[in-house]
Amino acid sequence: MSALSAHLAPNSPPAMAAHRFVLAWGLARLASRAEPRVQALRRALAAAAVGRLTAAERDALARVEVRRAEIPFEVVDAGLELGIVPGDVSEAAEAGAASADESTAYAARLAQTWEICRWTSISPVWGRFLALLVRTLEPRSALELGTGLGLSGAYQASALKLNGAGKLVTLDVHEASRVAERGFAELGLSDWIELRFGLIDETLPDLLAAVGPVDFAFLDAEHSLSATVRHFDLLLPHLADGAVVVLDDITQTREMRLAWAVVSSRPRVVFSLPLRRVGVVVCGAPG
Amino acid sequence: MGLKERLAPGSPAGDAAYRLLMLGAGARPRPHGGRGAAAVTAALLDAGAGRLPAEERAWLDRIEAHRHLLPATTVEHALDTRGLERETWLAEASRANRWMSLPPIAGRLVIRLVRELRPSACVELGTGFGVSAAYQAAALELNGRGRLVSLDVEGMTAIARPFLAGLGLEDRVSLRAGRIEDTLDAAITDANPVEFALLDHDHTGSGTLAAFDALLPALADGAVVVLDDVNWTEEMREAWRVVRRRERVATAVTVRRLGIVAIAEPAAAGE
Repeated sequence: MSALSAHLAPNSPPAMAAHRFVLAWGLARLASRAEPRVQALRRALAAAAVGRLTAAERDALARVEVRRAEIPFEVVDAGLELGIVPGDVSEAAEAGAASADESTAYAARLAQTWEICRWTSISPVWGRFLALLVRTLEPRSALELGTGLGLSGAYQASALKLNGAGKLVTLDVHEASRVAERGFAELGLSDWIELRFGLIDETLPDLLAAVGPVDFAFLDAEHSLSATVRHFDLLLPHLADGAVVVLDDITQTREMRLAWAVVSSRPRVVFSLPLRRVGVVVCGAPG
Repeated sequence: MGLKERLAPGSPAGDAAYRLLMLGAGARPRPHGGRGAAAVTAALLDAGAGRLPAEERAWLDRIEAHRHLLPATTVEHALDTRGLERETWLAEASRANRWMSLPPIAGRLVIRLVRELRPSACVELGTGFGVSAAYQAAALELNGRGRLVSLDVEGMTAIARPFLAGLGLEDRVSLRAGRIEDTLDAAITDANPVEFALLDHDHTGSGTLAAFDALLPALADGAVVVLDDVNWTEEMREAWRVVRRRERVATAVTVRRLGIVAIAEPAAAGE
């Protein structure tokens, strides 16, 4: 890990400052928009930028962060393989595992899974933003594509629990998401979130036919141009008037930047807001 | 916001001040200090530069996450036992957790020190909420060896025990409840030779000095002792001045509230 990226780690002071700046910039862009659909988004942005949270919200978010910190230990203790390996950590982990020293192997596996939880999973600041968005929008029906380790799902479901209404269905194909299922149960979120395994292209159409209009969606599945646009287009006819869709990692690759350009220019999208790595779109009435 | 609040533990400015002081203290040469002094130097430089292996960061995150929940659990405990008003206790516990427990940046130093030293036996006087014990025990867990004996009154160990169990560290720590004057001798006998010790119990000069002198004969060559709150009062500052001049103390470092001494190694003098 280079020195610069280590200093820009999630929750480091410069990263936090950058995050607030991005949110403030988003707020400035929203200032001229008077539609009620966009106003809810403005309230969520303002709450996240200022960090104005109730004690119950703080407690719920802290519990998700405990979960994040626990995952590496759970994964290593259970001897699970996550199979998601970010960049340069795999080599170090292999070197550690090959060593005869048991404590070195343990440390290397812990280091590897920790890197995934920290760098691949949603960062605490964006998780908080997602939770506040769900708190303000109060969706009845929410959808997540790409469960991963279940942290973004836990943020959204915690917000639904605080709202006292709504249900989140999250889809993933990866076996690593078994870890997520345990996390939801541990956080007492089982009534608010439902995990469905399978290829999203197969599970999504059936699900959409069954659940009725979707008020909120978070897209964080396959990070390719074709998959992102395909998933969004599958979703589009089933989105409610004023539905908000959040896309993660829109700046990650050239393909994802293109995907964001395509998604944000779809005719039903009345407002789109790129916030560094996260893109938010608001949809108008169908037809 | 006053200067004190800006430099509060865990605030960006407070952390930056700690890191600069650690780097400064680590950069000072310690040619004949032996193993203990070398570990202190390495730990100060690593913690100051933020050069920590990912597995140590994983443990620091885990301890930090659980620490956020500590005030709430402490309050539940206090309400159970003493039936006091909830809001008062919550505020008091948050303040205590922030100011009394070891700040995360000092936790980095402790975890690094214990990793460098690879001790078999550690002793802690003053468990408190169990935060500093967790840092030591996490390092022992990563080392794959060593145990910590931690002493405090019943009221504190009752809070620290579930905290450490929640972190899965209960097997590395033996918590002993009682007045430290009563439990210290047995603990020293059991843990002899002590390779790492943390003194954070009695914030009077005489009490700290008495505990250090009781511990001194049991300290292994090359052992490291960390004293917390050495700048707390004039009395504590005086005790710290005496401690750092004690025989067998090879090197002494002060980083804000922490005083660190390394015990000499006879072999090191001949090198």
